[in-house]
Amino acid sequence: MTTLLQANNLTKHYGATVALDGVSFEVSEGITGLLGANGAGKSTAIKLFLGLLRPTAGAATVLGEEPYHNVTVRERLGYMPEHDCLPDNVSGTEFLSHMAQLSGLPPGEARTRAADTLRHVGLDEERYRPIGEYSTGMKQRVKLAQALVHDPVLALLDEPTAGLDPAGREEMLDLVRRIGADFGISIVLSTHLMGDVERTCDRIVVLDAGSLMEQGEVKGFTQDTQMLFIEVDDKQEEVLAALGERGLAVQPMGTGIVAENLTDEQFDDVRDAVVETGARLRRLAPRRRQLADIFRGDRT
Amino acid sequence: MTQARGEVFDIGYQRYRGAREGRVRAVKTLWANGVRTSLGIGRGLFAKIIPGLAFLVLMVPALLFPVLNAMFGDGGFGDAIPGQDDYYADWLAFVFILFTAIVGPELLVADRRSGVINLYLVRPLTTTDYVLGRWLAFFSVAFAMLMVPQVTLSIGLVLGAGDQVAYIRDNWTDVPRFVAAGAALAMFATTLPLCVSAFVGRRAYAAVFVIAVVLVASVIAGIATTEASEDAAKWFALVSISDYPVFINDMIFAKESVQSPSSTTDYAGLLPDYVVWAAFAASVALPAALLWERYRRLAL
Repeated sequence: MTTLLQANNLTKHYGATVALDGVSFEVSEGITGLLGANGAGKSTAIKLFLGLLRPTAGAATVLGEEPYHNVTVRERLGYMPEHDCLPDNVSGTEFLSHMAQLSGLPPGEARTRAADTLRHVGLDEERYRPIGEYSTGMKQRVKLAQALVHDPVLALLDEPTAGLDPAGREEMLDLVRRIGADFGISIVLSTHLMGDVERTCDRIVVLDAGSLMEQGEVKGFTQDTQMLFIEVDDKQEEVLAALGERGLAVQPMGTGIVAENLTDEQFDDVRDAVVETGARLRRLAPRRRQLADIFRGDRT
Repeated sequence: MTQARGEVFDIGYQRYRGAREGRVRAVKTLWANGVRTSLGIGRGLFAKIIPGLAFLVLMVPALLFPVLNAMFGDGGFGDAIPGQDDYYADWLAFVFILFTAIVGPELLVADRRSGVINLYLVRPLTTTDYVLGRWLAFFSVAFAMLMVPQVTLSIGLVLGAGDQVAYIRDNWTDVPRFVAAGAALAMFATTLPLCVSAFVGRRAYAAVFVIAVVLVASVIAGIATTEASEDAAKWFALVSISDYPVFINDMIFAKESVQSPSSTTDYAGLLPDYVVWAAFAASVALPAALLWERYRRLAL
């Protein structure tokens, strides 16, 4: 698989503040989530990959080039910022055509691409209206469209679901998924929302306080664990005690109980404990890891 | 009767395989957009009023002077009618600077306020390309606005002359001179408002600041040259920065120093040429350097 983006011992200092501390990772084709809390270094990493900042040390390489030294590589990159970046007094189609030309497309091609891209993001009917009259969701779509209008190889999306209601968020994530899967444009999705990453991404890079915490396939993080999740409607304390009496390593977790590393005989013990207490069983299933576990330090 | 039947096929997302023209196209696009913005093209009626009005005011004398000149010649209003050597030596230059002070901020402040600058600078453009593209666009509009009246005046004067061939033979050197003097005025009037716009968050503040600087400097210079001795007054003339292009105009047209100076322009005529050239160069180079540096350090 082709490497599109590479951080090699990437370091960025703002005075005494260390925003990124010797981070190394690679992003290849597909949809990659760049996950981290606010201040983790995600935005700094994106700015370095766009060539807006010069690394203090190390290198940020995109499509084999260092964008800080060669801005031409940006004609094959798309970027959707988190914050407002749209003019109010021009129509969606005029704005997109302008952005396509700024990315190097000739005027005729730019107009065609603008119309097509607005259709693909669901703004076909509204494309002649001034952007100032658009709703928040429509503006997010225009922001996404301007990142795609020149048909980039890789698009960097910074918090694309920010400010959207639940329905708008679902639609945006579906769109991101479709861009990666159907359009063939690779995506780096920067977000602090694990749900967004789990829904859309193939791979994940996790940053924490300027350092690389984890990277790999999302399914590798969310695969089944050696833990059994037991959820009962009532008598949770009694079930917990009954399992303990049978010598099982158990602990309460959220709405249920988690038992680790069970043998076949111990599965029978779980069954018997539930029956003995008369608790109403709601769920008995292997527990899947969640991305949130990464931040809890749970890597079982 | 057979009804025409049509069917719409969605051919899905199409990759772009056409030309990518990189930085050259990006700068051209920025230039074209800057020209449109300066003239209010593609925007509401209000945006067109200032450039339209300024152009009208600059054109009226060019249309009127040849007629008056033909009617009254040197014996009538001839002395009061400016020629090509002093067309922009007085209030018309002020009208022009007023226009650039009001319209100039539109090119830079709006991009920063709306956040569009965040999208521009992730295209295949450097900050230098951006500043240069905007400056060139505004300079092009400003220079054209200065040249059209001068060319009109030239045509009118030729047509109104008794012996047109003799008139052209005697006055053809005016053409390169007014082109050079116009370029000097356009450079000055373009650079200062753009420089101020780079540091100010609102268009109106930038316009007011530029106009205030020009007026206050002119008033101070007027008072100082009146009160000071002749030797000191010629140096005080340099306080009136908006008159620098007029000083240059007088040197280009090789006007002789007046015996009894009474205006800042008269006093500036007493200074060595190199001093006036240096002052003019500084009045363009310093704002240009500040403008470039400001954008070079712009935090996105």
